[in-house]
Amino acid sequence: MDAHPSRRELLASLAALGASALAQAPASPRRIDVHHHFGNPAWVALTNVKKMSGYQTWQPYTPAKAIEDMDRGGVAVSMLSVTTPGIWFGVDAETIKWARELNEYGARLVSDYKSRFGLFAALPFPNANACLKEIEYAFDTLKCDGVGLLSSYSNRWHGDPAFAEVFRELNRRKAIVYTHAQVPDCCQSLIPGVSDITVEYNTDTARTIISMIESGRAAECPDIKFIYSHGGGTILALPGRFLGQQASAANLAKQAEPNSRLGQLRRFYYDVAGSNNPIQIDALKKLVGTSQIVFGTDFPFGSAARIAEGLQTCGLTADELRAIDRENALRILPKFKT
Amino acid sequence: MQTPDKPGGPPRRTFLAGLAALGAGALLSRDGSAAQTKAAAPHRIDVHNHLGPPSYIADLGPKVVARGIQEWTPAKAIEDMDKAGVATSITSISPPGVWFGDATAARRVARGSNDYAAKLASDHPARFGMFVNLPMPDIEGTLREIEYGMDTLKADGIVMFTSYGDKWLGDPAFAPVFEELNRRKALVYTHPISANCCRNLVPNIGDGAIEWGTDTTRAIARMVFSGAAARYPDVHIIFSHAGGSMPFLIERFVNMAKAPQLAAQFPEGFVGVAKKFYYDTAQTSNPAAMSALKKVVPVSQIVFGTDFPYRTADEHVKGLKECGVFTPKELRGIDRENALRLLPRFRT
Repeated sequence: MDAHPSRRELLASLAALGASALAQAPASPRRIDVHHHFGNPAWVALTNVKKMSGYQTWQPYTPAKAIEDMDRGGVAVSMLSVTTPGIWFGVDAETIKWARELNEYGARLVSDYKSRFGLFAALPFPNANACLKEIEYAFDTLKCDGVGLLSSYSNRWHGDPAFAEVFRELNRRKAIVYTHAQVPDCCQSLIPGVSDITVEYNTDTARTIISMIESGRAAECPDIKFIYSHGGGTILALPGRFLGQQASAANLAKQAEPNSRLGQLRRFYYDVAGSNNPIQIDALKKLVGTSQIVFGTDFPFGSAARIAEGLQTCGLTADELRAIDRENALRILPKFKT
Repeated sequence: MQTPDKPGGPPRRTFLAGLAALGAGALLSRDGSAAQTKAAAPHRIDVHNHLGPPSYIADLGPKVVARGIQEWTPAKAIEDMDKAGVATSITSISPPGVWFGDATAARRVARGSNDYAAKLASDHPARFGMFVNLPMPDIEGTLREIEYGMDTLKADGIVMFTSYGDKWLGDPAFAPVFEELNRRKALVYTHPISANCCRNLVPNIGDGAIEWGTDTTRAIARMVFSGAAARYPDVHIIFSHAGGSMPFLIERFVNMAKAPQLAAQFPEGFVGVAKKFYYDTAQTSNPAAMSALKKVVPVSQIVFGTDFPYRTADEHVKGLKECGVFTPKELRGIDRENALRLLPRFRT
């Protein structure tokens, strides 16, 4: 049992996460981090007042801390997004205001720290009309790089008909849609002594992916570039049921039909934040291929150097690492090509 | 009681479906299975095999019972086993189970199902074993049914769902049941179900697709972090479907067990506890799920399961062979030997 090599590797890699992160600083920063959070001072204060999930980590937040972490981990550019619990607390007007203020703050960071940040704008979900207005402002005025959503809003997942117009507009703009996990209303504090982050978070990412595919919305929006956080969450655990026979080794080795379930899964991108272990990376490679894996840190909850170090233990070749660190992301964010 | 697979043969519809499943080639031989498995004598042990007792179907009604279960017959089960070299299947009721809020009804349906499963096992010696179906969360009825099932029916273990309402296995409410199971050193096979939180969440997507795999994960979390797994060390637990989504949340589980307030309780970490459980292969004999599971627990903890009649044994045999994760020796362990440690009476 103890001689079980792959398990030992796993433990080693998991141990590495906890150890001091000493990934060699690369000659020139090259990584592109698609999973990097920010907040304006008011939102950071709100996390503290409401004691929202992870509020301690936000006290304080400064862009300088972000840059320092990026520099230590060889990150050239980080795409800013708002993380859970987001900005929807039940009152539309407040949410609309939060989205606007955060997006303007994010846009300022993008211009203040030249070529270090990009912006995935927050949208005032679940109000679809307000989202359409904010999309227009964020893309046309603030020149954002895409939008950053949470996996669900009030027990509605992305394929919900209520959100259809928002996704159609994002498709028209050929937008990047970055989706971050969220603990949905259904599933808060289910198990005494087990934090929501352990099970529920990554499950919700799988729900919204399946919702997008099964509702037909993913097929209806072929021009959206989708990125899902945390390696797609538990979507990797579900192919046996979701794909059935298509999950067999023989079928996974073949090209998937474009609008099949597997075909859709293979056009999405998945970031490695919190998933930079051999289990998830190996499953991602088998299911969707290395070309769909992108670098992500979950800053300030994760650090770039540690994520980079974890990736080193996943059995990836130098070419694969380069693709994950940078090249895959450049396909959908070409403006950061240097 | 209906006696399965007796003279007169299966009804016409069943017969036609059987032919379609066998494919044209199989028509040439009297025993359709012979061509496919002539090399290996049936040896596999399927711990994840569902049955449809007539009394259960009658009690719940056709709107509640899945079609695969309504159309289930012992003959079909045996045919599926024969096609894929399965020697023995241990039966259990599949969701929605027997509990609909009324303890008297739940006890009656559980008893009828258990009597049927026992008759099936005795009518087909060595082909079927049984897990006792329980009227959980009715604790008193459950304790009585464990006694009846284990002592009178000589069952091989019991089956529990991963949750009942809003409580997962490991919840203190279920302590009397686990104390009794621990005293008996019982084998507990678990099957996922929809918890209260998580029914019909995403429109048009069956709970089985996402929620069941998650509910297994929740039960594992509850068993481990409530301390129940350590408190009842003689209960042997099989989790279905390769542990649901647990292997893909391993980093979060490992980190949680390392948290300052928990670290002393888990000197070997989360994996130290998780590797004592068993995990079946039902619906997960694909490269992603199997390679992940193998990285979390030793192969000695993986047992063969098919989810018949929802899926076939043959596709699992094929999936396990072709997934590229296991050596032939490891496959023998998964097919039979690992399960024999839990079910020694099927040793031949």
